[in-house]
Amino acid sequence: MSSRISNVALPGSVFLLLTLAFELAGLAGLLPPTIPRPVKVVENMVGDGAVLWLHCRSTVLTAACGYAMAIGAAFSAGFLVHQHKALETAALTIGTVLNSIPIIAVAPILIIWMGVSWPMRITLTAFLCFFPIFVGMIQGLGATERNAGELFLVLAATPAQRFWKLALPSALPYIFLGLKIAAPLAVLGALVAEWTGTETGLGVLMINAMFNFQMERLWASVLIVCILSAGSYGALSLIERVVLTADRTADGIAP
Amino acid sequence: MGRLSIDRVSKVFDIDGRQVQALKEISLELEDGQFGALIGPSGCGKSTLLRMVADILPPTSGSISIDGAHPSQARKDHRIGFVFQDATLLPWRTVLENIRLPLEIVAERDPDREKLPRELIELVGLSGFEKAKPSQLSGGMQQRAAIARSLVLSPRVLLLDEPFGALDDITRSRMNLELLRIRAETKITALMVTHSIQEAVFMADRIFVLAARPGRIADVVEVGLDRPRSFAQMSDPAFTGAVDRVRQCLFDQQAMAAIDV
Ligand SMILES: Nc1ncnc2c1ncn2[C@@H]1O[C@H](COP(=O)(O)OP(=O)(O)OP(=O)(O)O)[C@@H](O)[C@H]1O
Ligand SMILES: [Mg+2]
Repeated sequence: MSSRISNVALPGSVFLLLTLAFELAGLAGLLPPTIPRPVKVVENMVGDGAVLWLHCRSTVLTAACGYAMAIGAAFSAGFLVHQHKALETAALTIGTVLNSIPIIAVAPILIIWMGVSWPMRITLTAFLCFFPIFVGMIQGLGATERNAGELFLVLAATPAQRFWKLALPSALPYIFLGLKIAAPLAVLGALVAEWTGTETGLGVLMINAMFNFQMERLWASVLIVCILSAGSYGALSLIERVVLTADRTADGIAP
Repeated sequence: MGRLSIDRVSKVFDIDGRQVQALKEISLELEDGQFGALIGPSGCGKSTLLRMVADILPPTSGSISIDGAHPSQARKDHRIGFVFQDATLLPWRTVLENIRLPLEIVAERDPDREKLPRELIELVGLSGFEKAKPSQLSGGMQQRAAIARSLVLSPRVLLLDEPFGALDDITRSRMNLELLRIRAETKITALMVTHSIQEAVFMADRIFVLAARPGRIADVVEVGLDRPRSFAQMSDPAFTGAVDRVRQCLFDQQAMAAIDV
């Protein structure tokens, strides 16, 4: 319990101290014009609230849809690979090759196919999120205990029953690992898509603020992006803790 | 029905291109309702033999039949119950859900069978722990849950791979009695691997003593003790006689092995 508190308290207090230092430095006139005082950034977040909210909504929508699409694709691919073991190496190789294409290089290809549009934004995000979830699926599905596998064999379970009742539940810890890695990537994917010239989104807001030298707005949108990334990761950790109750963890503490 | 017949079964494993004969020409018979015990040195192929009977592994040569049919038929008809050395409960399921698993897999809605998991929980003495997760149970309780699970489809042949290996003597004796009671109630045919000579004699009608390298049957000991068995019988001359004979056979092997080396 105490370790959980210090997990939050330690980085939290470092963050607060840094903020305070910047505020003091700004008040003393030591900060360059590119770094606004934290208080000014917060003021801007309140004053610009409506604009920020509009763009934030659009980014969250892209990230969420892309993330969901990646889960759907990784899940289907994982199911297929589990039912046809021969596909595993091929699927992982293709996945690795696709994953090695820089996301910035994928964007133009998608734009040629789909234009600068919602489907393009969502697909780009899904492309970035797919790989970690897929690898988590494959590793997890392959990690079932040998004896449990033999149990399902003796019971004459169908391949589908094996997937739903054995492989998937035992893969969950790995799948959650993939999901947690992919969640901040969803925000990144949405931003990259927005930089290609969409009309809404925090990515657009950042670019415009940069060109117009609106430092408070730029820092405010960066701050929101950080909150989204960290927040999505944190939310998933919470869901993981609820889904994988204590009996799953190695130390086996009863809930 | 539950006749088990193993006819000149051999198993050769390919370990990194090297052929290793795990079992050589094993033949054994168990009549319907008989209790057989397999005993022998570590690595002589007891688990392998059980796996072949359960159709988890195919024999290299020879044949196995359960009620005259191939093991794969018996397996698909759910006539085989298997208790693994470690309980192999699914940690995310409760005790009741674990015991229900075979019913879910058969997926036929038979109202009579739906009652069975709870009755079996009672039979193995786990009442009150239906909702517990395996991690909240002791090793012996987990093993009892695994036994209940192996019985839920009313198999005709029960295969047990050192089911009580990890238990202390007292729990082990209690489990032995429980298993004998279950056997008497269900008239099931059982084949159990054990490392304990006393346990083998106490439980079995027929003991198959195996020798190693290659795994083969060194002796078959018939135990002529009345059922139901009780601990009082342990001082019976028939009991001590059988124990001595099994021990002698195992020790002779060791002596031979020493000469080999
Ligand atoms: N899947 C396998 N692949 C290769 N060799 C195997 C395999 N399973 C068992 N063996 C070999 O077969 C032999 C018998 O193994 P088995 O597990 O049946 O022994 P056992 O009698 O059950 O031993 P123990 O009492 O220690 O459990 C061993 O030499 C082992 O190395
Ligand atoms: Mg073994």
